[in-house]
Amino acid sequence: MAIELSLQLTNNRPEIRNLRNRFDIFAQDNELPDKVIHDVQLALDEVVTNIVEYGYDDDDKHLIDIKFILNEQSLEIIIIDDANPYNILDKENPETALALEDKPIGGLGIYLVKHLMTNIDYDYRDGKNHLSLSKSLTEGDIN
Amino acid sequence: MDINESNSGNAVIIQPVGRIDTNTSTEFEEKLVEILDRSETNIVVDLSEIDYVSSAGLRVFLMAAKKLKSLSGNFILAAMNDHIKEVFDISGFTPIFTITPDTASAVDTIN
Repeated sequence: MAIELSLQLTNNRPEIRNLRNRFDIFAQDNELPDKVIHDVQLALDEVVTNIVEYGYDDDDKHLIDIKFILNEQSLEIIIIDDANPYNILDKENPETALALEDKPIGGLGIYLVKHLMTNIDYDYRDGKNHLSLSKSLTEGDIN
Repeated sequence: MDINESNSGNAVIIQPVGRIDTNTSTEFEEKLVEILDRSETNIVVDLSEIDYVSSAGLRVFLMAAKKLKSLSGNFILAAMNDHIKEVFDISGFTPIFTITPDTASAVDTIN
């Protein structure tokens, strides 16, 4: 049977800290492996920061819905927001094999999410971004 | 975030505690800028108390490494956990940073 946790955030930075703390408690309660906790915390930080910082053209309050669904094989995270349409799967990967002098500052967040999550799905419908991140609990470090 | 600071020989060692992410990276950056403003050129970051580093933290590391390279100084990252090491590998950061298993070997590299 799946264990679920649903949260609703508003689009401001302190909420990202709240999200992190809520997921920490969920992870502890369900004894998730360290590697899963690490990778999911990092993915949440990257994705939700992007939405809050760059997703909206106005200064209004917006709601972001986040649902965690835990089953025996994987943890799925569904993030639904009414920010501008943004499919992280379309984002071009940065050039990583560059010397220190040539390396641009920034642009790594989504690239890390793509690497650390086992599966990513994206859909834009009813005026909202629907992003699903899935992390396998069983395949260890194989992504 | 808590950031401890100490000296060993010519090196300044800073030890941030917790996570270097969207919430804390600005504070961490301010600390590094403050040390750079004192004309220190040998900085060791002890990561033994850091759980994770997000892209906001990677940005700060890159900025400091570029700055210290231009000053012919040293910027060394010590005692990172395996999760952070993987993030460094994915980002292409591992070959361009000086990474040591602990702060003692980082200080040896400098002195």
